[in-house]
Amino acid sequence: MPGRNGFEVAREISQVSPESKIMFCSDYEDLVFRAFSLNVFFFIRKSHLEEDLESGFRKFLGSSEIGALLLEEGNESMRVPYSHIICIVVYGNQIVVRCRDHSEYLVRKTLKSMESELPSTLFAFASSSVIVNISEVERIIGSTVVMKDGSHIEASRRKLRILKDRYAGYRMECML
Amino acid sequence: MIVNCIESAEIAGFYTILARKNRLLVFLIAFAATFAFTEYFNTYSVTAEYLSAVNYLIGFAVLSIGGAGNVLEKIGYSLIPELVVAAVNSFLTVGVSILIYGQVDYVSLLNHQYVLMIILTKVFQISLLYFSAFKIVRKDLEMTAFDQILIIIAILLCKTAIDSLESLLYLDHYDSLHLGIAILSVVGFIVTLLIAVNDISEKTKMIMHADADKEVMRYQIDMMKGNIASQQELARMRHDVQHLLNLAREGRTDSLESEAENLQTEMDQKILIPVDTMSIPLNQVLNLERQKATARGIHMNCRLNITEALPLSEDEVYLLMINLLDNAIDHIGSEKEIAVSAFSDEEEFSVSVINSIDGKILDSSGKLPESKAQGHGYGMMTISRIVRDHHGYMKLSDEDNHLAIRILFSKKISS
Repeated sequence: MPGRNGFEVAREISQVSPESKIMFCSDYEDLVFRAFSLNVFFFIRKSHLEEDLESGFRKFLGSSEIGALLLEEGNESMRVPYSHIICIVVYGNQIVVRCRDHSEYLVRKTLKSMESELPSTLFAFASSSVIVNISEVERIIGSTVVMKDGSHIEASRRKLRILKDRYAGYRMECML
Repeated sequence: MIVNCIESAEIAGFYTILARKNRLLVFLIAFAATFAFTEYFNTYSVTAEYLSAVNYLIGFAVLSIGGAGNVLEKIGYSLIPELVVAAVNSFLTVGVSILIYGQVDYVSLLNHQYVLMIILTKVFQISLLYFSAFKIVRKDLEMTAFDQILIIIAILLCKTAIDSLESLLYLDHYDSLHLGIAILSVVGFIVTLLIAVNDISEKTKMIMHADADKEVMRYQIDMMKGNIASQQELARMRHDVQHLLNLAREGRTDSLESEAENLQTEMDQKILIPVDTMSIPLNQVLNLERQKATARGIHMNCRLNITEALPLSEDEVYLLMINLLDNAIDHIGSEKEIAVSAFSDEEEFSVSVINSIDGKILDSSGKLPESKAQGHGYGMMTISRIVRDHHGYMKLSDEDNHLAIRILFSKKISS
């Protein structure tokens, strides 16, 4: 790439599409990057190209964010990608799946049975009436879960510890 | 009378061992006073009960004559004989009675097994008193004034409880006062125990901190040694370069070529690109540990993105990183690969160290088993302490022949 380096391209991709997974490939055995703030999904060493590429794709395919929730209502069924879901809340004797594009899906199920269909690395109970998508959590202050869209969800004391542990686990996966 | 004589002699002997001067006088006074008092109360009771406090005073007086320790020590020592005698008598009376009769029957025991009981109790009493005196004289027990006070209170409460229970046991009738005192003594003992547990916990924390300090010092010494070795290596390479320049100046191109080739080969093997982030302790630890790993044939791959100052003190970064990396080197598998990743921004700092292992390594509770080598085990303890102190999160896993320790400190999760 004449006149541009990989970091600049990665930064632009991140700006245009923050959800993109970026894999860096370098000649250096010891990658020492400083002063750049990029969410790099995987590093590939050129000397170990085959092996590292395989590991990178395995990590991508194993990532819980790429799955989808299958919703069935009567004869209709719909796949909602996990990455689109913000939270799932109890609504009377039904549940509502709230998505990032403000769409909502009413499902005749219990929250407990819905939870068993979701990956535990990505979803957790905030209280007995709300399941949150951990990747949509911006921060947890005390018992208040601040979502990336600015909304607040109050977590129950009983569920808070597991929620925090899963969020910490998710942050580690994202950062490392 | 003979029994009292033996008992007085064993107690006097205990005080004599503890005395640092006037030993004969200590023995004689202790023996005479204890014997006289025992003979006196035996005229109307089997046990001294709460009057055994008189024996404490005798003990304190003779220990003062014998110059045995400070006031608190003398109080503590003077309580021991009474406690030992009472505990042994009660224990053996109950134990032997149950063994022989299947129930506590003090009267039958006294009538039919008197000699056996005397022999047994005296042997146990003398052994325990001698053992206690031996431990005290050898100064095996080091304790603070607070510990001594706790022990004095605990002994007094135990003795009071035993005295109360003995009176119920030997007199064989219900007495609410003695029972009440026994219960209160036990409750008091529990409170004392809780205070002692708290005290032990505080002391353990202090020991752990001291161990952590020792680790820092050890690391600094290692680093100093590493620096000296690097300086020597640098001086030698300078000399080699100087030699090459001399060869070039003299026009000896044949020698120059082969010497330059040798030096290049050596440099290719030894020189690693130094880690250079904005965290100096992180750089130092990684550079040093990479050298250590390389010397053991381990390849260490670092992926670092440190854009903000780390939320830990320099000492903590040293301790955290050195223990993580030492742990990885110690548990390395046949693949000999270590991957270190560290990331920091204004809100989070995370670090992961992944090393190859052969099979599984974590125990059933997901913990890393402690190495049996001396000084090991503190590493993970130190890491856990730092993580806990900063309300961080730590995750261990041993999937696919790799041991991974991931740590996160995040301002995004606050309590």
